[in-house]
Amino acid sequence: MPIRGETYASSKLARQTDASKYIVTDFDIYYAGAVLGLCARQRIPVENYDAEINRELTRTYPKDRLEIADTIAGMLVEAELTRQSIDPGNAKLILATIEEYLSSASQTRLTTAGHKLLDRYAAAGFRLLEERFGDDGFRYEEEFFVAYLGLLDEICSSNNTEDRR
Amino acid sequence: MDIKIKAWKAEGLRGAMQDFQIDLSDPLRPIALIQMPTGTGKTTTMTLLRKAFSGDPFSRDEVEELRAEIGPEEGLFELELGLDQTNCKIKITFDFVDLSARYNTVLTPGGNRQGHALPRPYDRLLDKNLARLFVFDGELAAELRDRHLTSADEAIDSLYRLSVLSGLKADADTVLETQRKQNKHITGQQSNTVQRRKDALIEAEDRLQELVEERRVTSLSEASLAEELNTLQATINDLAEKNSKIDDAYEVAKGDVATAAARLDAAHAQVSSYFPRPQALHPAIGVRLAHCYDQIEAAKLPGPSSKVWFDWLSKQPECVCGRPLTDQRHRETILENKDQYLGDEQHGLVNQIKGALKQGAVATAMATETIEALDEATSEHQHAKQQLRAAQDRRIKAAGGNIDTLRSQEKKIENDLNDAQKILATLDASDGGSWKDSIPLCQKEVDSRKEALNEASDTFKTYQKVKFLQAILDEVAAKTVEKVRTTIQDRTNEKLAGVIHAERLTIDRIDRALQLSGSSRVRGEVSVGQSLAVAYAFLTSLFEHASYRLPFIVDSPAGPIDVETRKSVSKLLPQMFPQLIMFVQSGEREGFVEAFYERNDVQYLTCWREPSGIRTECGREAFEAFHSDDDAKPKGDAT
Repeated sequence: MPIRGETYASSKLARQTDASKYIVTDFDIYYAGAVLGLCARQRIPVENYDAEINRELTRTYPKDRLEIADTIAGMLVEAELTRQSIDPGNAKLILATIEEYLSSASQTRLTTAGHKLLDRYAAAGFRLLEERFGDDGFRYEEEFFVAYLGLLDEICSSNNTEDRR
Repeated sequence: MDIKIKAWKAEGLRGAMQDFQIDLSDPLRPIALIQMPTGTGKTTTMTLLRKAFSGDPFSRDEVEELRAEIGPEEGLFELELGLDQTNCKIKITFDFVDLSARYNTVLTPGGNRQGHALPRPYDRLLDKNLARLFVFDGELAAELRDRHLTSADEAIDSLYRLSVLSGLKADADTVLETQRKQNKHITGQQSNTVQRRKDALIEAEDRLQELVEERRVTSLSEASLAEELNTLQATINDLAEKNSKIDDAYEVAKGDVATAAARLDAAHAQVSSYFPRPQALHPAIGVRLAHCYDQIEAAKLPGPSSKVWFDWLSKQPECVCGRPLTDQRHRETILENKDQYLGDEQHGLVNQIKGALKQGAVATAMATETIEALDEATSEHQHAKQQLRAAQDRRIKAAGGNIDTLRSQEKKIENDLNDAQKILATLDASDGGSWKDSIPLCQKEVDSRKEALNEASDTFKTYQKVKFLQAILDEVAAKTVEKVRTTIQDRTNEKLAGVIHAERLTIDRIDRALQLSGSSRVRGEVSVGQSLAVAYAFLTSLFEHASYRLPFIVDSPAGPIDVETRKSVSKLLPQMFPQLIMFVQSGEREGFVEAFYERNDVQYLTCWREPSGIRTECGREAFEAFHSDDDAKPKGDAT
């Protein structure tokens, strides 16, 4: 079962008619939501996890996308440190955050807690997509790219860290 | 498992089937070419062979169809088979008074049995669907490609017995239901709860069934609307192309669309290349990663050295500066302060994240211009398409065509298609909405109601096991179907490359039907000959990997195929089937029948009609000499 909102995003793309240009995969859809949530520094509340997320997609990355594992892990730590307003000098808290969410032994560089946290950011990202684009969706991938990157630009330009409920 | 046809005969049936016999057993050869002109009962023979193999019951109408105008009250069709070492006769006796048919099976060894009673495992294998595959007709060739039907999937399912898995799932449910009924210790109150929960489960299961059916119907409708839209748009394009002397703006607009499409492709490719790298999506991402790196640096993580090193130092006789570590207090101080430093694992982790942050921070983000270029190219492409559409309309109008009607039809189909897609999206949605509207949510509801029922009926543990088994079976089925489909698709495409030379025709995917790619398929224009060749390539690939050795019986195998393709098909078919029985007409000699003259494993039979009935003669000489008046000459490749 996908993350809430993910079906929305993928169904809009999967139903495009110009199949020859279809490059976005299921993983891309998850990734798009995660990047959006991380940039917005928004994640769904932990108590909503079971209700909204029923998958384990991030437990592995596709082989050809492994190179993004480090960056996503970096973005996750950055978003958490910012959300928690951790003092830059507080080595103990920074270390605790890193230890809780990162693991060098994992293919994705994330611990189980890190995976769950990323899922929550992704779910918040899908909510942002839903809120902005409603039911209209995108007929072509290029339309999705332009709209998605436009939304990302807006999000990155603001520093909204409120917890989404 | 090896099945061979030895002979068949018909008595007291309509027309040429009044008294007709074919004996292939003396001696049985891998290939039989039977020349039967029109009107000698080929279609009826094929139908009866299918029935005899599968044991499919006859309707009154079907029996009526076989009744001779003037003839006996009973008729017979008998098929003699070799089932490995067992000789088997399947007899169908027709009662033309009460319009019924009954089966009888004679096995040697094994004796006489009532009904269609083949020995195991043949009885499980030979069913109606499978019989359609190896007693083959041209209709199936077209159905295999029809997206509204599921013939290709059904063919795979029949031959590879994938339905066995769903049968096992149903068996597991039966075990559960039996246990539920056997739980006698349940009290009256518990029994009421069980009944209530059972009703609730039935309600959800019924709804699920309705939703699945709605999905099937809507999906068919979606496919049909998409095809209708394609055809209509192709018609509009054709009309515009035909009237080439009117309105030069059309040609200009066509060129503009091509240019805009090329620009769009380039801009799209550029954005696509950036998309997989998060730090390339926006410059702020790099900035944030750099900031985070600075934050970790400021926290002095990791320390200048590892705490393991301080452990080691505290045990040394002297410090690294050369002073002796004789005072125990110095050693304790070193150990107390070691926690300011990191362990090996922490050290690696922090270095890893620092490396990731540093790398992400220096990566180049996509320029704003790149996204703007895609945005512009998208708009430009849209605009060019609108211009072309307007030019098309002008051209068709000027030539007297009713473009308004065509466009309004197009709009209607587009709206209907959109509606169908919305319904499908709701049916497939796994979030939001009611369980009564979505298949995944309804499935979830069914599962939860099942759990509730099983808790109440004290069968929870068995239910958990059944659920586990069914989940495994589902996974096995999904993986098997995918693997089989891929293998068969690849093999079919390899064969198609060898069979059809004039045009590259390939199967893109097998999903319900065979979905073709290649220039012809754009408008669904696959000729009858090509269609037949695709079906042969597909079926031979299917049978090639199956564990059964079945005969292949085909009527007019090369009739509509062009001479070049005939030669390839004549080589392909004998390689793939241990027994090949082909009803041919003299029109199929060129390129096809004559290719078999070079072989020495072929049996030739010629049948013709005489006032006394059908006569059959064995041997190549009679076969070559015979030329029926009603046989068509090769027509080439008809579309």
